[in-house]
Amino acid sequence: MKRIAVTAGTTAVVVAASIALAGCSGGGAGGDTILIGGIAGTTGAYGTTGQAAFNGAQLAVDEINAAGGINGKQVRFDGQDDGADATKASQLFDKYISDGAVAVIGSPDQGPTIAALADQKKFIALGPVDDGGISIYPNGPESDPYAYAFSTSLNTFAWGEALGDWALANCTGLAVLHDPSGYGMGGLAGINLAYDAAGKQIALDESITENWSTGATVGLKAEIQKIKASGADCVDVWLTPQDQASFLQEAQTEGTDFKFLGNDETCSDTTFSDLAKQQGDGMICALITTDMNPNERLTKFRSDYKAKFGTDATAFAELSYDAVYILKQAIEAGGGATDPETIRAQLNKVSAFDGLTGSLTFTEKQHTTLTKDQLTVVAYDAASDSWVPAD
Amino acid sequence: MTAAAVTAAGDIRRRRTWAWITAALVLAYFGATYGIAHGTIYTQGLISQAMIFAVLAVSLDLVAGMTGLYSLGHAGLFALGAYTTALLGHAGWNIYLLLPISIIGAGLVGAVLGTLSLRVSGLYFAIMTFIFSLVVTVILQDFAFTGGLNGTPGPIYPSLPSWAIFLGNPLVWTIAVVLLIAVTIVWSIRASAMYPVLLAIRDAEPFAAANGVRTAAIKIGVFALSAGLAGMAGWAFSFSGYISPQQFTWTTSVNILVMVIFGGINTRLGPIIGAAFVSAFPIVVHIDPLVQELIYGLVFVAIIVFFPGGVMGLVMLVIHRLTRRRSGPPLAAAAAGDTAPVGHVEVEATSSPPRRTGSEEYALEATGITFSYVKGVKAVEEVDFRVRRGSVHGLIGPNGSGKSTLVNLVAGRLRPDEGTIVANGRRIDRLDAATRPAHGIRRTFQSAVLVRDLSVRENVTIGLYHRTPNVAGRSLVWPLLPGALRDHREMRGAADTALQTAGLAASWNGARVADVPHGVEQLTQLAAACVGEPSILILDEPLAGLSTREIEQVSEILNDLRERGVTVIVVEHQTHFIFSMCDDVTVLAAGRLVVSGPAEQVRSNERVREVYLGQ
Amino acid sequence: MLQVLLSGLATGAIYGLVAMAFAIVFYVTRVINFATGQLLMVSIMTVSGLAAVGLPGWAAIIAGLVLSTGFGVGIYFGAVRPVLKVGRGGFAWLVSTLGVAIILASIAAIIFGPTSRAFPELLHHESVRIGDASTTWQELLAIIVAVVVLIAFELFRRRTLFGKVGMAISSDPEMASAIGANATAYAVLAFAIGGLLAGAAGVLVGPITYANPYLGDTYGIAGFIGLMIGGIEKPAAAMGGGLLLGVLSVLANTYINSQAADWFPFAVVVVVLLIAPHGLFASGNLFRRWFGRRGNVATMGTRA
Repeated sequence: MKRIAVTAGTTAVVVAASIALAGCSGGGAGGDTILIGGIAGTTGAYGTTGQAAFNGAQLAVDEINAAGGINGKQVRFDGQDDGADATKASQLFDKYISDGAVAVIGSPDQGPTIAALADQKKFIALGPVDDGGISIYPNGPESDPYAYAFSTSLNTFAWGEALGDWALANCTGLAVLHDPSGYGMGGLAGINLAYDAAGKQIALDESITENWSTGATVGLKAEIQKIKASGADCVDVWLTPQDQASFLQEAQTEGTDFKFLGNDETCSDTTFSDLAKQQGDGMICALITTDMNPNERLTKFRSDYKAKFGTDATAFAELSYDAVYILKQAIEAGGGATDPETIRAQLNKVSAFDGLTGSLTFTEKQHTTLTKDQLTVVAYDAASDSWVPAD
Repeated sequence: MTAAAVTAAGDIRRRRTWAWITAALVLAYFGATYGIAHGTIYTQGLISQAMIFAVLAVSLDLVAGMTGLYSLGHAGLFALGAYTTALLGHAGWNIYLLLPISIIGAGLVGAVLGTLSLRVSGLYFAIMTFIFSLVVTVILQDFAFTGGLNGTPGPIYPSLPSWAIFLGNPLVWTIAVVLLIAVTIVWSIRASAMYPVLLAIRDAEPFAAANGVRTAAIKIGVFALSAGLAGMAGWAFSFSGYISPQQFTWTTSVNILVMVIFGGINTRLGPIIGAAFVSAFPIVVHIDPLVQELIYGLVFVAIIVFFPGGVMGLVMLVIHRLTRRRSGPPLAAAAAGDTAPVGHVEVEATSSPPRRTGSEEYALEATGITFSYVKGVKAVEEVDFRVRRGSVHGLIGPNGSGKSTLVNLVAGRLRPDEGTIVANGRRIDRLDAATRPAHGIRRTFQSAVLVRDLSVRENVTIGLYHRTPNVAGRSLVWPLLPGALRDHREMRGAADTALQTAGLAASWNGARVADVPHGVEQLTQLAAACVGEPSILILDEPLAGLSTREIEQVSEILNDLRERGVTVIVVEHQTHFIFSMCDDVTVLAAGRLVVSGPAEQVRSNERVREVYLGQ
Repeated sequence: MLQVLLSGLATGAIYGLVAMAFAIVFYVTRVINFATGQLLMVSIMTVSGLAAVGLPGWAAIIAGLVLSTGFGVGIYFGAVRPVLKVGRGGFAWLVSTLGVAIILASIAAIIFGPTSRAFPELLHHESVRIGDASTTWQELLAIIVAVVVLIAFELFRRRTLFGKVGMAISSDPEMASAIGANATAYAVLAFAIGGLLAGAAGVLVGPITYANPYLGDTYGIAGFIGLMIGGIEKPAAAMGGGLLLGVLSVLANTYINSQAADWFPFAVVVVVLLIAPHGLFASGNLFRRWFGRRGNVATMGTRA
């Protein structure tokens, strides 16, 4: 046994040393390549979102390279799965810093972690940084955002405000059912932006812990009773698409006649509509206006995407694509400098950038490009299985 | 004694060699740390992570592998350390002050969990610790001060003073030191005289208690130590940047246990290998993440199904095959015919034992003992049991007469409902079994109770636990203490002597109890009881399953003990042996005392013949 | 209140079936099959997948149940039996069944993708009013199935030879095999029944949760907690624990606040484990506490 301890122990130490040495020669950015890192969950319940984000960024990078790169340098995009795990996400973040990347695209499911790390390590994170919202503005929409996190993503404040406006116009009372995570709280904050501006209050604020990977949430029925009791006639179900479909099902078997609103995820893919089908008729959501009337550029993007990846592009692909192009602009505007400080300064000056998702702006105080102004409120039409503008 | 001197000299030489090897390994370890501290941030993150989990795995092996307390709550203890450091660190506390705070805080919680282990055992304890993990997760997720679902950023590790910058990343060094401390403590315990005691608590608790081991206190202490190590790991982990509740769920607890089992439970390197594998796997095996998960699951199942001893089990198997000359001569000799390879005994067998009629002093006095297992049915009823000092006293009776119950009452495993027991002048009936050795009382058990995974010699050293000062405390750094090493040597020497006195050939001493025949096991038990130099020795059916030769052996030993003034109580069915060996005999039937007195009188007593011998 | 009871029992019925699946396997083999939740998932995904390609509901359901039962038996032969042969102590089966759980979830995610898919409505679209409470036929069916399973199991255990031998094997496997009971056959039966129950739970809950490859974890844990509350030694107790868990969760949600379903069941479990470590419905547990004797009882079994 002791013999074994010695041999095995020495081996282990040698292995450790070799890993250390091997690590020194990690694949990194050379002087001639600009590396952009990507962190997103490409497996698990939100795998499609992460994959779309990577695909969009990759498409942008390929186009840029074909057109000569950034300041003559080729660009490389390296995206890795974080498995929706904070530990992995922060490890990957460290990896890209040591690999010499100029920025990180992501993460759509570990936004709070990545945004906080970006601030701590003074390294740029941009694009699909979670739901935007509270990830970027940790102290709420009225205070300052994280300095190094720039979101082009769907975000809870924008959607919340847009939906809140619709509710003000079409409901006598609104109940908001959400989860206590940054995503849910952000949605609530967004809705309240609209209600505060109108001097009104929502009828009910219910926080419910949901199992957001599976959508198997207990006790939705109990919520129905509470909503009825509050007198609200509209409910914003700020949960995952699975839970939204579940809730509609429960509410309808109860025989209620609520009007239902959703969040940015409801209409960003077909999960909700596939599950809810007929029961989802009339569900209120919001889409990026440019998506609804695609211009020539967006149409070309979509066909290029489909040809390259075999699936339809989603909003996450578009906003990643936009993020990469914005980054390109920032680097070029800074004379080719790729250090985080210069890029940050340049990003804060991005104004009316013509992106796939609309006219995009960053300032010192505004680190999310999408606001309610870039959105159109829509409703689900079961008959045609599509989302049409709501009145 | 030249023999002892030779062993001592050999020991010193071996110790010196080991010291050199250890020094070399530690140097290599720090050399590797230096390399990593200068490597890429990515490698550093990866290896730091693996090291922290190695600390957790090693701490879990201490309680699960060595002490038999399977904990699924280590993620909760880990979280305590991490969150305490993160939250207080942000409030401005000095992070180095937070290290002992994390350790002690987690240790206290661990002590509480340890007390749970006294109430429930095995699977149920694992389940309770599992629930603890779940509870911690809920607390982390549902409260604002812990940052809720999103988590909270960790404190920033201070940078090195300018003269030390050459070392590289200070966090890597810190984590390396943390791992070294954890490994040193756990490996020291493994090499110490405490190790057999822990295994005894795990596998043979009655045996441990009978040798004076305070099993409850040790379980709590060991669990608290393990928890403290987990808290230390948490402290180190908080510097990774950002901590959130999902990193400390029950799956993490299960993962730690999986690391231990996968690497090889109760081995030095197993937990570390397991931690390295589980941490490195997702990074090293880099393919489609879903397929990667699939392969991960397949590897687990494959390794465990084919090598239940884990990776180290596999390694041992390979090495065993490669060094084939390991088949033990003692066992081969034993298999060849002689079922009781009893060696030469130094005690002269006397043809008839000298009957002592002199001493009227009672070494043991039990008066009016009544005990029921179940309400209404008295297993022992108003029994008076007195044993003269220096005598060999037999206790007989048909099945169900209450003999073993009475023995257990005297030995402290049971507490009498009524009556008193006085031994060597002190009242002991309210005290539990572990106090008996302090009163000079030792016992053997009817059925096999030794630790099967340990050697014959190591089992006997457990008998010396009580007489050796501060085994538990010193075990944490045992190999570093020359006094401890000397004590250990003496314990092993005394064990060998006791085994020799019990009549076992020296070739058995190193054999695993699992591999030895029943007779050898019984004699080992006897040696373990005698090595503690008791004044009162209780033997519970010592002859069960022994061959004639071995029974003779036991007779000789009992005579020798009587010569030396030891009081012996023997419970037996073999009445021929009892009446030829014992000075006095007590007869029980249906829980009541039939008669007690000198052997001849009892043998010729009418009622005894009726009740017992007649059948 | 009736509403809470109905919703709670419906939820609890699913938990109870999963808990029973755990308990039956444990009863005979002393092993906790960590992949039990995944067996629920296997049946849900099979039904969802087959229904999507046009198979009629009843055929898909049968296929789902067959698969979950089959996988249950497969787990025994592949991951449990080889490990048990080496030694009954130790927790190696924890690693192997966990490995199987990971394998099943990964395969499902690879085949079906990681997001939720539609599941046939079965009986869930029609609501039923009882008093001022509303539920659906699907939920009522879940409760009925749970009760039927409970009664059937108890009858089976007490009245038939199979059941009695099962009890013998459970309390003393070596003795039982000495008298000729085929331990392997019983283990296979236990795992099969466990798979069947988990699969049935899946079919019952599918219309409510839709089909997601990661449901195994959620319901596995919930079923396990139900098992802890009720008692691990007896499958009937496990069902009781599951039902109780369901009712408590909904109670907490309704009367405390909507996040109480998080911590309330745990508070209950902690209290239960402290006063009755072997579960609330374990034999005579509460009674022993109040009326029985104090003090240590000899664990060595060496009675004279």
